[in-house]
Amino acid sequence: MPPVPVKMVCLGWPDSGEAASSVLEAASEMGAETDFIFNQIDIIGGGLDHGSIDWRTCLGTAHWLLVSSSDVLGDEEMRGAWGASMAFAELEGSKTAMIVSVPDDPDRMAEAWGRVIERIRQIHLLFLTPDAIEAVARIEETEPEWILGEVRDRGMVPLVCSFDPSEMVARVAHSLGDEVVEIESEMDFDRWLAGFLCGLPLSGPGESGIEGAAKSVGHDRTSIGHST
Amino acid sequence: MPLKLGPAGVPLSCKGRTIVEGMDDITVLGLDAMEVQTVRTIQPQHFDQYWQAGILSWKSDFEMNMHGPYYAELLGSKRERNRTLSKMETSLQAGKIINARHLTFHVGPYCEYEPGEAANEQVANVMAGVVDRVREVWGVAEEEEDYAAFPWVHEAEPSLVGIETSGRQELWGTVEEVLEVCNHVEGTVPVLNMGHIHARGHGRLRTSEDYAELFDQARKTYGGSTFYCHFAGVEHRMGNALHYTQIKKSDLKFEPFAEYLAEEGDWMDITIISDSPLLEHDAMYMLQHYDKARQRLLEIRARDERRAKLAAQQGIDPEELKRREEAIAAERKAQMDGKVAAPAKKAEKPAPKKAEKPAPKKAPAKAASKTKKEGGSGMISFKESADEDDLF
Repeated sequence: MPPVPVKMVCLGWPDSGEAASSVLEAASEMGAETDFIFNQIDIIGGGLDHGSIDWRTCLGTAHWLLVSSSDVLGDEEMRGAWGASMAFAELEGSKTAMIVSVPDDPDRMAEAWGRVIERIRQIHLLFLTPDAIEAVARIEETEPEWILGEVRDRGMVPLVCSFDPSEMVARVAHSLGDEVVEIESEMDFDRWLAGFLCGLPLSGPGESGIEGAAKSVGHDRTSIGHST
Repeated sequence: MPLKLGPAGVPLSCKGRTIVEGMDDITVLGLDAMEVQTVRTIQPQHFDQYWQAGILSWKSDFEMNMHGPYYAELLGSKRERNRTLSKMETSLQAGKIINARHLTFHVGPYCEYEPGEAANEQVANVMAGVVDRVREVWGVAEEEEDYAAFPWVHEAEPSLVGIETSGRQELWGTVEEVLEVCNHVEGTVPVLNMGHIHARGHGRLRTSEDYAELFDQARKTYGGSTFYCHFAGVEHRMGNALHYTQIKKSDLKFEPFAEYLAEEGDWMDITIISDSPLLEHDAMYMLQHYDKARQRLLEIRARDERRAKLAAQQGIDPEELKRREEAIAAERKAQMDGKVAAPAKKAEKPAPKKAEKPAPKKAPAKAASKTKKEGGSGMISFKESADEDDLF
């Protein structure tokens, strides 16, 4: 796989099973330069201490910081690292991609979503997994089909997207409209999102850039329309 | 001028995540206001925090404020409007507990309405109802005993209902609309979101004169002197806000606003909330710029006063004295330039002296390298000194 000139950093550690970690691993397979923040500190030895993380070294030159919504439900140190990573990404110029999924304890979804909303201004790309779409729509008292656009409009997040592996359809709401892209080769959401994140910095500006990035994974793809 | 500054939410750098811990951190940073976000469902455990925050704000001079649901549909169908109102009810109840001075609400999209009188009337009617409801909730005589530990509920004025300007063309909330409604509904206050106003006006806020124009418009239409503002950097396109950014990355600068506030803001009672992605960092940035602008203004005023006194003593016109002072200053500058130029010619000679007394040379060299690190402009001469000290 030829290298992709995109660097991503994940707030997590390898093989953790978290959504952000699996996206980072998929991006790594695609040839992106990737790094786990918690590689650099001794989690097993002394426990996590987010004060010891050198954010500038971790985030410097990274295009994307990948964060999972469920991380905020961890212990106090993890919550601290979760918030600090986004603030430092903003300072260092990395864009934050937040992956919202339903946590292991579904009753805590509202709490996780509330934390995401508190930080919505620091998020540049918000990805909702298919089950999270249902859950967030319930919390926001709206229909699942409108949730991407509504979250984008309400939170002014530049990109709000989702990928349904059962229908092989990616949906992206952005400031210029919406894109619905059909992907014909089978893949899971982590692989699509990894491709989208790798594609965005390279695909140019505007709607065509977003559409191109959304289609940049898989073969025989067709755009099935967009609206503004 | 009463100016209060603070972040929209618990500071990012705050290790704890409760409101009270956030208030402590904000105070330590030298800020004195906070806007609590009730953007999600309020759960019973939040109320404990709110009471504590209310007590702290009552006992100190810390201004608490509350932001209502982050999306509203007050111009929508009855169902949509009621859904929004029920969320607003939660916010205003929480606002009472937290001793909020302002409750900020959005109106939402125009829906079936055209921008204009009908939409404004509908918003005014709804907001009048919200103001009535706030007054009902605050200071109920029968509840006085129940709220004995929370005296603000009976002693303080109820929260003012803030109506926020919107950042998108399809949402109700131009400056004109907001001022119009606030002018007609007592108990409301315009929430001037500078990022939104700048975006909707295609980048209209660039100079201190632009801010003067905005507040003059507010003074003429709304008449009040209490303002509640949001400030953050913003990316915008075609009159629509796209994304909040930190202030330094935006074409919306705080310096002109600070300049306006320092020079002409005496008549205002204003609260500025930073809703930038760098919440408290940008709030501090704003405070620093405001202090600088005030300092500059004080210096100018002190100089003018001194000149007026001297002129009176000498029996001449202050303008005449100013001209004389400027002439003297120019002459002095010319002399200084001459002096600086003269030693430059002699610079070739002192080499033997340096060999006799090398020690005293070291201190300036250190000072020079320090200045260089700080980004001083005399880089070439400092480099030479450093080279002289380099034994190798």
